[in-house]
Amino acid sequence: MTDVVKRGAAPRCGSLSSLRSMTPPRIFLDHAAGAPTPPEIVELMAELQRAGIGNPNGGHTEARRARAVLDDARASLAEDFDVEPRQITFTSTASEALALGLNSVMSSTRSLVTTAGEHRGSRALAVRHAATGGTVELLALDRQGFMQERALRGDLSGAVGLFALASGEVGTIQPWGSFAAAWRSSGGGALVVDAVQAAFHRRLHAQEIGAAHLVVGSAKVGGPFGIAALISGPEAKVEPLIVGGGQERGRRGGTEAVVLAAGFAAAHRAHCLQVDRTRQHLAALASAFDDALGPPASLGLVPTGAPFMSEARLAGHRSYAVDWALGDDLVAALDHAGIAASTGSACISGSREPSEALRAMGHTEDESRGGLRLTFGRPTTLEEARGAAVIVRSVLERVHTGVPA
Amino acid sequence: MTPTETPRGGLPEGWHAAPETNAPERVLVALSGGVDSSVAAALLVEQGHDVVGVWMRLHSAADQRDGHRKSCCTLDAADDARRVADHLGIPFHIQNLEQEFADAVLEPFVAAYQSGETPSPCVGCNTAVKFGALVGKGSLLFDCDAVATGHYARRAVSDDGCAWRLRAAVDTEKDQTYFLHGLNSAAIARARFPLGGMTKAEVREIARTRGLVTAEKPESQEICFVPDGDYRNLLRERGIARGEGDVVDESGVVVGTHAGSEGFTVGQRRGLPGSGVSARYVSSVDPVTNRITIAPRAALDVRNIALVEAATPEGQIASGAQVRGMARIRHRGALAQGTVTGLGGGTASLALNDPLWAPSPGQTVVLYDGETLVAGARIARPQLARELRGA
Repeated sequence: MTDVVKRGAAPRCGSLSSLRSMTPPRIFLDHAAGAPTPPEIVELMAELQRAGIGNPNGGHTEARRARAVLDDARASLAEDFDVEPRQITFTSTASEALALGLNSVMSSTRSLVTTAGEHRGSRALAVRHAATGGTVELLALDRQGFMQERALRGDLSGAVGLFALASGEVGTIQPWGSFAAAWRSSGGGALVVDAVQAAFHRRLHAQEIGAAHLVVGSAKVGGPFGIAALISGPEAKVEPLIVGGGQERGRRGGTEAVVLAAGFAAAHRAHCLQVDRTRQHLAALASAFDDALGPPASLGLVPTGAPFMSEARLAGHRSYAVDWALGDDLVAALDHAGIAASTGSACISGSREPSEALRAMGHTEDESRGGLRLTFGRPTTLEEARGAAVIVRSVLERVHTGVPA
Repeated sequence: MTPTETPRGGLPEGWHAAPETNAPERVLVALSGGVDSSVAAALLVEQGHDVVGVWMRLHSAADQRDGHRKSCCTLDAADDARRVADHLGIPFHIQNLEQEFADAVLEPFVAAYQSGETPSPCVGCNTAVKFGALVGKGSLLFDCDAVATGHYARRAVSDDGCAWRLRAAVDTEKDQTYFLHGLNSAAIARARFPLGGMTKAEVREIARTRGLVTAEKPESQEICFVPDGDYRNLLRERGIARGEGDVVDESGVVVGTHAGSEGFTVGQRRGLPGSGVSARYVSSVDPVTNRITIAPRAALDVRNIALVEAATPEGQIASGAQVRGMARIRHRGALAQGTVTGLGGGTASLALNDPLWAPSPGQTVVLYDGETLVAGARIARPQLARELRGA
């Protein structure tokens, strides 16, 4: 808690020391929404900011220094993803990159194929596409959240595909190689692929994914919020959504966020260097959590997505559904007990709308309102994972027994 | 404007004022995004309580922005509530009570107009949502013992500590016990009203000195789930639009037409045709014939009122049981000495020593003994009133 006095000279109310004593220690289990930035990355960005790194567009020495930082960031990310620097366009968020990617491939067709399990940013794009007269086909998902290849018709006629490699909501990793092959043999057209969660799980080689446009984010790998990237195929054209001063090779107008780009690139590189070790660590955390929690069914929890210890699941990702409470309520109760959790499906605050992904996977309407997600991260310790399980158990037992049948 | 009459006369024998502050406890405070609940939260924090701030999402109006900042239920209100919680350093959660609100407030609101009554949505919201569902959620999710709001009300407790009543607020103009009458003794025991002993001016001053962002917010006046202020639009959406109908006088002679009887309530003058020498008011609304009857002002003075859902804080008023006190039939309305007599099944009759003007079916009646609220009920429909009188 900061002691910053807000709104003029008005003092904060109350006895903060007494409040502090009542506040339980925090355990952060929402890494899928954004991992804490490691101190060395924070320091790097602060250093650049202090050094006056600013607008990279200009004919003077200061602008060239900023340009060099941006170029380095782009080159570093390009190396991580095995592409050329010119294939990378920096955007403010992954949602913007998804919109930019989709905007770049929709000129040749009005037909879009996607699933109900996509991130809200993608779902909103599909909804808007339909609302503006385009056709949208939702591919079926099975109970574990896998896309059903056999649902691909033999005549996709160049339709555009918008898919995530892995679901942030239920942790399922798609069998992308076989799906992409089926997509191509069914006449599917350009693919816009959300790799935000998958890029945290393992190192990705953009070429192998075969997407026209690949979207990666910064915050999930410990970089700053406010920056993401669109990685486009070597021949793919980018149609700008924001026109401006010709930045990003004319693909995205507006002055580049150089310091954030540098933080993103450094965090991603650091993550790449230890991604296998991180995956093992996360698997160990999740396993310790499972053991300490006991059988989910005993708490009224229904696991969602791919089986917990399966290879086809994001490491350190646990998701459940309950039909006896709203996911938001469980998140609030856990927050009060010191655990930062999530429903997994970001939506309007407090909305009772069921998760479309859970509905599409065959969960009941009540279960689809009762999503709960706990995602471990690199900084999480085994003690925290075990301690969290004890707290989750006690909170859920209290809430579950208190809910009228 | 004449000052509002206040239920006064101290506390009845066997009752004493509940302390305005309690020993430190975990309290859930319902933050609306307005100045009153903000100050209530600030005071609780200053008193050393472990406070959890909650904003209730009650209906789809919550998806809208509110440029006028008059409603408690828009996204802007939620933002203000969050900023206050942040400023006070307390946790903040949004609680979805849409289903509970629809069942206890929205559907009865529509049903009331459908049957020619004038609903009291705030009463249902307080009883079933704020001090019903929210209390349940508070204890379930946050282990909170008590629920606080920014209502202007106080509490009284029996000398043996077993029974609780509402007690009129210090600020006569702001007293909200009328809208809280549905709270039973157990709910009052768990309710906290930090503003009950203050005036509105004092509350605003506290908000200013604490630097709360809501300090200068205007009062919310509209029905929160009718953002445009015209409930008839909501009724039309629900298929209630009776269209043009007759306006008749007391002898049944048609004196004009109206644009739809769902837009009228007993005692209303606005929207009536013509303006004769003497003013006329709606004296009854018949939803079946879509007919409105009008009468001169004096004809709406009433000494006997039929009631439904008549209850004290301890429960339904039993057949034959009597409760005496000062009766009030509208918020901040006149007070008149009266006796409620139970007739079974929650029905009752209220006999008044002096008449009260224009009781409107569906609206709330409360009875005070001194400063404490001892009974509440809804005014019965004319049909039921006739049956009760016949009984």
